[in-house]
Amino acid sequence: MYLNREEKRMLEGECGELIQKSMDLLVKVGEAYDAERMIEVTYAHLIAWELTDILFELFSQMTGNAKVRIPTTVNPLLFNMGRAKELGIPESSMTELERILSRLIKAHDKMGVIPTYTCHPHYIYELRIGEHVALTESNVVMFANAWLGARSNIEGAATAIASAITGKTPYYGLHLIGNRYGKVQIDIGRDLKPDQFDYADYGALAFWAGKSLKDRIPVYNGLSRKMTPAHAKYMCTPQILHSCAAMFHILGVTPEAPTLEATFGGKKPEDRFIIGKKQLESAFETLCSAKGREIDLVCLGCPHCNIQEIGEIAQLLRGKKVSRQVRLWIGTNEPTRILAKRMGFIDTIENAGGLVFADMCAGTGAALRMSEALGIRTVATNSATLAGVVPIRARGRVGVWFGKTRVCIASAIRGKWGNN
Amino acid sequence: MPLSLTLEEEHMLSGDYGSGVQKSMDLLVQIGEAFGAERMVEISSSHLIPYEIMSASRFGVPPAKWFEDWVLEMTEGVSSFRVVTTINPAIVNPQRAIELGFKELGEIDPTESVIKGMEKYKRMGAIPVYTCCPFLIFTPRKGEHLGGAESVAVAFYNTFFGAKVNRESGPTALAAAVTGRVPEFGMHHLDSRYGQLLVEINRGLDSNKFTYADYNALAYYVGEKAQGRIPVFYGLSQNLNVTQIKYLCAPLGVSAGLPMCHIVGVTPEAPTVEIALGGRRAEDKIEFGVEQLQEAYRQLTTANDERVDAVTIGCPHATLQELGECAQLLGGEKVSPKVKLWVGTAETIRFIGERMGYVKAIEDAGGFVVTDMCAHSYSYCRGAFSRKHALGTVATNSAKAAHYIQIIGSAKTWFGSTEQCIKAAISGRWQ
Amino acid sequence: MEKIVIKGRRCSKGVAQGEAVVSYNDALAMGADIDRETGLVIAPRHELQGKEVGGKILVFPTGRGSTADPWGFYWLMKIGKAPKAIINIKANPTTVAGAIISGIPMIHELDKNPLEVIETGDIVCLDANKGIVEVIKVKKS
Repeated sequence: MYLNREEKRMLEGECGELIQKSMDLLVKVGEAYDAERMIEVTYAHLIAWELTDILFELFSQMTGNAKVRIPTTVNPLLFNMGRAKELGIPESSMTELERILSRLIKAHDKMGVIPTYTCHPHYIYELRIGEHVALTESNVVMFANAWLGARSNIEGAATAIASAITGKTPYYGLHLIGNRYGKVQIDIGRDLKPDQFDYADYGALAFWAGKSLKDRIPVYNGLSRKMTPAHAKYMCTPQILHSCAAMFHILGVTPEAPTLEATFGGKKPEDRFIIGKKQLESAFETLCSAKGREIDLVCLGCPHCNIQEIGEIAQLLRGKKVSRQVRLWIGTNEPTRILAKRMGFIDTIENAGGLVFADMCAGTGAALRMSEALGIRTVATNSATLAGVVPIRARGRVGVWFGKTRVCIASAIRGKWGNN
Repeated sequence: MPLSLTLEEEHMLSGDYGSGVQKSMDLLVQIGEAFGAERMVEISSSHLIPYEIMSASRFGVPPAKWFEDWVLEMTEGVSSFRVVTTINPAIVNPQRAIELGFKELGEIDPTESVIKGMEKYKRMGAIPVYTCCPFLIFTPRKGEHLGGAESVAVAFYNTFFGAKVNRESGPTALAAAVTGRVPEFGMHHLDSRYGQLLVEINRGLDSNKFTYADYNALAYYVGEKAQGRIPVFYGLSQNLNVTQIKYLCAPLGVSAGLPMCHIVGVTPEAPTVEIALGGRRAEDKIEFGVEQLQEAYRQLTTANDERVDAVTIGCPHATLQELGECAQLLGGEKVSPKVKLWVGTAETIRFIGERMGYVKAIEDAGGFVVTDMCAHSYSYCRGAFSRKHALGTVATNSAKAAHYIQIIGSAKTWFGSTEQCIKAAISGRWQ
Repeated sequence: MEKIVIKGRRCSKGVAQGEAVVSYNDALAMGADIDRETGLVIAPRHELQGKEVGGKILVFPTGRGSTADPWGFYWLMKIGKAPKAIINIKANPTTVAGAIISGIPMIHELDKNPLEVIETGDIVCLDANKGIVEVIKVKKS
């Protein structure tokens, strides 16, 4: 693997031990993937998920007192400790949670990481088409690749840190245009109405597609040209639950998919599937794992909601009240929460009994990790990410009802899963 | 070819959706016909300029009522905007109007009008971002059709994202938000987006060492010479960041009303010079070197007295990176008590600047990080602010601010790097 | 007296008649370049600096100005200092928007360059709806 002078110096320890260790890791990864050289990256995203003492120790060893060389944002925290009471965190857990979260916050602050605490950080650093970056958190990576046209592999926590510290990454995988072409065509069946798709539909679609992809990038043919970034957001992680394709194309919509020919790099698709009503319904069913209709938590905003989504939720809740037995949690990032507050959405949602949290991972984080302490046995959600992750992370402990946004809200009001 | 409307658009124009939609559609159709548009195009977003910006002028009778009435007419019967709608900064952040010296300027007190306007837009569903950089919140896709005013936003949307938006105006941006349409001409046509003016950065200049002021000066100079032709910048660093591109875009609208530029190797419609030019020869070429850079600086500088009364950073609104740089450049020193230091930004950037300690560093030093308002909105007060607060000379790193401060703000300007500006804020003198 | 007819494209509806004021070289911002008390052109170094545009048929190459400019134009109309009509070689959309919301007739893209046909002082009759400009020459060419 070719290293330029600066990279050699880094690897030989001339920029310090921490950079040397990070560079060593990156070179090893590069060699494993036959990368011919290193490239510079201009932005990184980390997950602040080193919650156990062992992991935090490893993290500290890697980072020491190093500073990030490039703008670096960070994923949500497990909890927003400032709102512990509202979240219902038991007193007995608070000290420990406070300890593990505050040390993570301090460590990232020390590194110069931008405290975004969101899985949708793109407001703080606009990515250009073709920009090489090092991102972790599958939904962040895939959104950047697919929707924004930037280039990142799915970095692990360690390689993302290494890239943030060195400003480098090995030139392999999705950094090469040749690896970004579509391989599998997914046609939207004519019995579906993509113009009316809810966030849940997009998620279920990606979940279903993911089962047949393996490592091949899908090209969706037939989705609405009016689809929004929020819709695309919900297609990210579900795709990767059963595949390792960290990118997708939506014909006529995403930047690298102007025509079928261009998207497939001039080749024929290796495979072609149609997803119609039956397949989509089947995906919805698979994503539901709950037994009884009683629900404890309705969780929206996985990934973090944008302002339109919060507005839609507020509209659905206007003048209504969430059932007393149900918690309604909505995850978002802080700038969106600021705007939502200004627009009166927060007041509407909270008057109805819902809670809008910033800076934390409401779904796959808080709800699942603390399910016992919080008495959460059944979660309702419009997120195929959350629904898809529950059987993996909380099998037997938590069951999921998965459905469209308005069904989730209607269920929150009724206290039971289902539309009125 | 006459402009043909869809059935829905016919309904809008004939008043079936109320008179506000009808008047808005009529305005857009007339403009379309003036520019040979054959049809309207659906947009996904529009960026508004609040009309209260007009009420800050020194005119004796507050004209706010005229514009309030006009907006009422254009939105009669409209309960909410049809597309994602964002808004430009207000003339003043009502909560800080007194602190910033905007009250008691004589005939003008814009705060009431601002608050009223803010309420009205909110009721109609506009997202209260109050920034000239809505692209820090709303990111369009390449090729997406948008409406909107504010030349910075338009230029950035076209240049950075490859979205399609004309350099519209306050009235048409409102009409676009009401109808969800704009006439399909200008930037909405691929053919009109190609570059015509090649700007080659002379090898004598190392653009990798450019400060924000240098980018501003480059764009300002080119804008003055452009005569409406879209520039293609060739020879700039390939790793330009958002802040730098922002400063390349902003001055284009000032001197020349240009809706976009191309930066070869950086922006999506300019992977190569040939593609940026659409396969045609450039109509003209500018070699931009040290001499041209110095000339631009001279044009942007009208002060001759070292004394500095105010420093303005954040035109267009500062990014998080810039807040950090200002904090770092202040280095714990205090702003001279004789100097007003304003750093303008969006509220959604300020909060993260607060988390990183940047805002505290700037405000503890005696500076103001102002949000929801224009960083140099005092210049819209056409001298009233400058006279009342003895703002004879303003230092800035922004070509757009310098231009407006000179022309309507009745103050002289020092133009230079952020570092020079912050140093001037501390010492009260320009070096 | 010599009468010349030129045809063009409508920017803003209406008919008007009056005395021409012509700027041959300089673009004009109806908002920023004109004082909203006196109605005089205040743009520094402008060909028309100090001249009054109110009630005139204003002829200039093209418009300029910020995206808030149309409101300045509207304001000018409200105080009765707006021109009666505008003729450009090729209009700037911000000028057109201002003309439309102010109800001021405007034409551009004429079959002859208006700056070569019209001189300050000529009488101009304009029907923007039909796209017709009639110029009655006052000075001897």
